[in-house]
Amino acid sequence: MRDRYIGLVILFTAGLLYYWSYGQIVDVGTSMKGVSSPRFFPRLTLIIMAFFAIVLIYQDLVGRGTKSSGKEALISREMVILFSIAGGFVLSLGTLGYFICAPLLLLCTMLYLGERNWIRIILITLITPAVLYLFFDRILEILLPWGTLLEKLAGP
Amino acid sequence: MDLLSILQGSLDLLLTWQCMLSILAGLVWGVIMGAIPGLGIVLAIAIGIPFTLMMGAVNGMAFLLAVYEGSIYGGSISAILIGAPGTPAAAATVFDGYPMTKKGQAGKALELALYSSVIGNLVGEVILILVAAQIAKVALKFGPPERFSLIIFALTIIGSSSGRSLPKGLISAAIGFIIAIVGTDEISGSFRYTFNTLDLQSGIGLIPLLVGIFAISELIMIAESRAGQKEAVLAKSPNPEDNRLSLKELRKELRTIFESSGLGVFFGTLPGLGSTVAAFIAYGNAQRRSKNPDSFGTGITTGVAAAESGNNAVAGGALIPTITLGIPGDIANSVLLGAFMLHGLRPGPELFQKHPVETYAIFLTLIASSFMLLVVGKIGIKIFVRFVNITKQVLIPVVLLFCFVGTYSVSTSCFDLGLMVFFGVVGYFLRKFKIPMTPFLIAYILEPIAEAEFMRSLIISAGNPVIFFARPISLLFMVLMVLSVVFTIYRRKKHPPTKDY
Repeated sequence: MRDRYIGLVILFTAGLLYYWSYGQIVDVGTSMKGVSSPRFFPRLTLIIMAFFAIVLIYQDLVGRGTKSSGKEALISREMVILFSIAGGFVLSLGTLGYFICAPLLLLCTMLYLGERNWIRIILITLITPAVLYLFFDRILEILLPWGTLLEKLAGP
Repeated sequence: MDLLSILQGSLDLLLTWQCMLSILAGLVWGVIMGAIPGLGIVLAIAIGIPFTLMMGAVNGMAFLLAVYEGSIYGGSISAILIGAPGTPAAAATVFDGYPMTKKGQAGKALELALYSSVIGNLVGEVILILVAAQIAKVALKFGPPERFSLIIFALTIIGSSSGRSLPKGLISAAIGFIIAIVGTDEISGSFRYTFNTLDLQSGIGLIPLLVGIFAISELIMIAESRAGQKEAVLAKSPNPEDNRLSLKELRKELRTIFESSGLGVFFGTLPGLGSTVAAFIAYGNAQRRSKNPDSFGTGITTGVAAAESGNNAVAGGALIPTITLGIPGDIANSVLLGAFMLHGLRPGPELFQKHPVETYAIFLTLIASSFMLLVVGKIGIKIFVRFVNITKQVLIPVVLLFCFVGTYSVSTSCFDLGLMVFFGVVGYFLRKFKIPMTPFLIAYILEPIAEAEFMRSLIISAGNPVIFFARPISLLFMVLMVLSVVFTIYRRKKHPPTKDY
């Protein structure tokens, strides 16, 4: 992606965050104003960020930007699918729990990446979550979530 | 406390089975993660942090520092066996390590890499122990304006030396600052960019950020990679001399090893450079000083010795500014700095005053770790070689699950898991936009300190920013900052950099 577009994205983001600093930096009624205000440091940083975004755009316009390394796509299929699998894991963890989500995560990812050795798939999807569970639950004493579904099935 | 009592207390902390086990586990984890191409030192440490939070400060840091040392050495295994460095730091090792394998001398190359790594580590650690306390004493005299100026100077150097583009490096640092600002302002108590979310009031945690930005995005890049995987085989040569390093051969390389280690320590202390640059400089120096420079690259022991001792000695050197000033010079040290803080040990000049026993215990664990690496490397090499051959179809899912479970274990919060995935997306686009990540992470780690020192300075000067220019040391750092930017612009015009980040 050309530097001028990256610069525009950064400039836009800096502008948006600066605008939000009016509403999203909530003053809790202190008397701090000016350089002592909680808004000062973020705004100064955003101004510097915007400045260098403009420098980046300028450099690209005058032909001094970094050359892109070919026609590689910004968003790939692997990125979309793997992030979808990760997002699905996060969204379902509370409901389905670790013991269902973890093997599913491993299974979906291995299948998508092309693993077809079923013995390896079964061993990894069963052993890895089990080992991690034992390590966290028994040694570190950190409970991994059972999920509301399993809790309901287990009863009161 | 006098030094003798401190050392006695430190030895008591070191000589426990828990500490020794932590070091051993860290070394094994580090070597494995370093040996697998694509994973690297930062990911190894980042994934390891959640597992250490229950260990206690000294054992936890012993584990992570062992991971650091182990992964630098681990990178040489794949560099030598398949010509693909497991970590960027091992890139120079490929030049002579891989040709040695092609000549049937893989065993000799691996053994030499191990000894060079251990000696490089020890040189760096001894210098660290000798100078750290002295530097900390000088740094204690710095006031808030000096500390603020030093942080900005360090960030400018790191931002300007990372990647091909100076504006991108500085933008990266600014983004890191902004991410760190999210949460509750410590001084005024105001909420900043929390979007009325309770979970964001405590800020964006180090672990979800780190694991997301580095580990998750790296796994996606590995998945996208179309590069084929070579098989690593530790073949035995029919000539037994090719399978091991003799004492005579090691003695012959000692001068190169010590010279390269010295260079490694020196360049390790300079912010923004890191072990990769140190390894290349050490290799180049050894080649220049050689009577037969044209033999470099054909598979000679001196090439491997120079590269490995140079890149390993950086560990000790880079820890000097990290521990004494609280300013990490590279990305691995910024992760370690975050880990120190999570364990309640805030690096900086006050660390030696507030936690002297723990600090020296950690130094001693570094020494112990180097000696243990010798044993681990010799015994475990055949096992480590197998890990180089793990396919991405197995590697990515397993490491992904480790990331999720490790991050969840810190706060048992699904919100943090969501943040981790979000920062995975951010890290992915930072890589695609060729925005370097080193300044981002260092700025994120240093922002709270920078802002606090900035505010304290303004309180001292009754709101007058001239204080940063009125005090001589602060002024010096400000001038050095401007000079470093000017010098970087001049240098880039003359010699455009070729690496992205």
